[in-house]
Amino acid sequence: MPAMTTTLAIPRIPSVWRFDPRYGQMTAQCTLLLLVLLVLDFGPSPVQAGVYLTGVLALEGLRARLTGTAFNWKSTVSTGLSLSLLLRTQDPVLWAAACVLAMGSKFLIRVNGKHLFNPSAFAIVVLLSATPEVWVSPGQWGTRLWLAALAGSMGCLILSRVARLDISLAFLGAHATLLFLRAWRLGDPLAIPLHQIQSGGVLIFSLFMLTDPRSTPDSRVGRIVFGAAAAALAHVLMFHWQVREGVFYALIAVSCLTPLFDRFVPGPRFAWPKPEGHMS
Amino acid sequence: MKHKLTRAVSLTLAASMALGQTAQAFCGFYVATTDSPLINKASRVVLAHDGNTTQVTMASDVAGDPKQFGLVVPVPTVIKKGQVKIVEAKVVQHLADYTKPRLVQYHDEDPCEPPRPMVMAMPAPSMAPMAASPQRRSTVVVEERYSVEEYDITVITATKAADLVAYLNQNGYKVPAGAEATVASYLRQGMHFFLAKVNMEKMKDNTSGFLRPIQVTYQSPKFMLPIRLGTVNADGPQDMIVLGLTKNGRLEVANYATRKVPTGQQVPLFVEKDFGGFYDALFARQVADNSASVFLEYAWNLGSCDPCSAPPMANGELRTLGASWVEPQGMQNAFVTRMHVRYDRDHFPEDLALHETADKESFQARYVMRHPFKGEPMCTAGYRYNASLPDRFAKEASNLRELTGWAMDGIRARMAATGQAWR
Repeated sequence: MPAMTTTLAIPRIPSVWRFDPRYGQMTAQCTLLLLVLLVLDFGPSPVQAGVYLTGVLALEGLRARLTGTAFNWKSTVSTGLSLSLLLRTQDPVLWAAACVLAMGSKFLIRVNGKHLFNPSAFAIVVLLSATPEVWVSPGQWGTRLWLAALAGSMGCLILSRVARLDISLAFLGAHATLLFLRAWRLGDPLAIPLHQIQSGGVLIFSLFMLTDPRSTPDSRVGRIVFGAAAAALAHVLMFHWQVREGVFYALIAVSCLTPLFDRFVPGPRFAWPKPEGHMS
Repeated sequence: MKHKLTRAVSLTLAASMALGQTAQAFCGFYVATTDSPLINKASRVVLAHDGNTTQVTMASDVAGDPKQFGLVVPVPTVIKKGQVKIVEAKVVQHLADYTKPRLVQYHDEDPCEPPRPMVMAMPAPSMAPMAASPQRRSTVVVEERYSVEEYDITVITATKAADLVAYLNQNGYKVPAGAEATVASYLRQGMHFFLAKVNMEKMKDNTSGFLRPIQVTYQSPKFMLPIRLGTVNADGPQDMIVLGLTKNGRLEVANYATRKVPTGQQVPLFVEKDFGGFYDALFARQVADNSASVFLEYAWNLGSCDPCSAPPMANGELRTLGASWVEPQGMQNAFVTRMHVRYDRDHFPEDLALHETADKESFQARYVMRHPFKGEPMCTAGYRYNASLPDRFAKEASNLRELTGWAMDGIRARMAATGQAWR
């Protein structure tokens, strides 16, 4: 029996293979972007994705230059990819506005040395509230693509050891539980919550936005409560208020509580590996 | 020209019959007061949406005696008399014709003359007119009861679904077995039930012979189409055409994938005689390849069309269908979306949740016929042109096989019969 335990133990990854988890995140996001560009009829536009990526990188470059600090391209690319995957608009002015809002919130809205909001979620929420010219298409993926995306992304994130997968799991667990409870309360067949769970928007949100270690609580308990609270608020927004993009509003609302979590349930402050750690 | 138009109309009728075969109910369900068989073909729903105001115009293809039909639709608010209007079927028909998949034809010019293409639009599949009828009660609360033109309307709620189902059965609605759980779900979501039956006395004034569409207006953030009742015990999948009128851009189903139907392909000439059959086969193939998807057939600003498959909608017609923001005269600042959904309980377990996007990109389901030039070649280009035709015909045949799944032998035989023999 002890021999079996030894065999099953996850081997230590040699230090040469350890890399910044953001590489794993970016790989997953890039693959998803390519996939939805190729497969979906109403997927993101390649030009728009290009503008988002260029825009956020240019703004990050400007910030690095003005402050004399290092150029943090990894988190920035991740923000650009999240915008590309989720935020649709046909107005180029709004493409630029999304970049400015995302990066502006990251640089300027800060508490205790951390930015308060996930940059792409902030841009999405502000633009959705401000103009009818943007939209998010949460349900365009279909079952097959959704399952492939879930499996692939989780694989990438686990292999790259993204530190904050606990918050995703707390969110997804609470989100699914609430959907099943709703179906049970209404007497609906299981097929309904199972179908509701398969939202591409929610998947990207939970795996790539919620896992942002800089805008979520430092302690594990704080993060789990944070994830569950975001799911509960999103559920109310989606089903009671009929806000289809409820998850993004919920994240921004719950993010306002992060400083309180950090104060009352403190934990070790997260730093990205290597020299860029002090950045972001 | 006159000849062409006559042909276009007959095509429409043929297409209507072909497409109607698999269709049935819509948002709610149609029920009979007797056990006589009903045919409720594809439903059409026009949804005009502006902020929290939704105007739903429900029209469905119903064949049979009007007194045998009843309409049961879950609605998010209690619908009062002033919120219900009866719309002439021809207005819905016009919007459906205006947005339907179309076949366009080009005539090749004499290759020895300078080119000059000519386009003529042919409207295609049509589905058709409508439904109706009921009244009475138990923990059922009758919230409203009134008549609007030829319809007697009742709005009810209940604390127990079994009571509501019993009420429906007592009042002449034959509710499909198994509907109770779905009714219960709607009641727990705070929805009410809108029931309509035909008043046969008043129906005498309606000389058209068709039941007219019912239009309901309500204020609610709930922007959805309830399809679940229609799938209880349904005999196979049902078709629904959703025609959206919005201010800003394409209407989208938020909780199912949307696909564009294939468009722009060049097809053999014989398709003109069987456009309904062609589109039905094409659509069935799309559904088989992309189950649980909603299909976009048309998306365009109402200010223009190219080619137009029907005369443009009048501002008054758009206002009748609920686009109240369109001025009585002048520019039509409205966007129309036509979605076609073939649904059953396995693939569409949940109601359709809708949302308006800002997507203004134009899309139409359009197929192309090219009539070859028939004259004798009078120059080298003419000989080259003739030599190129078999390859073109082969390509058209392969397009058609790809789109419809029809067997190549049959396609080739039908092409040969219309002067497009190849190989």
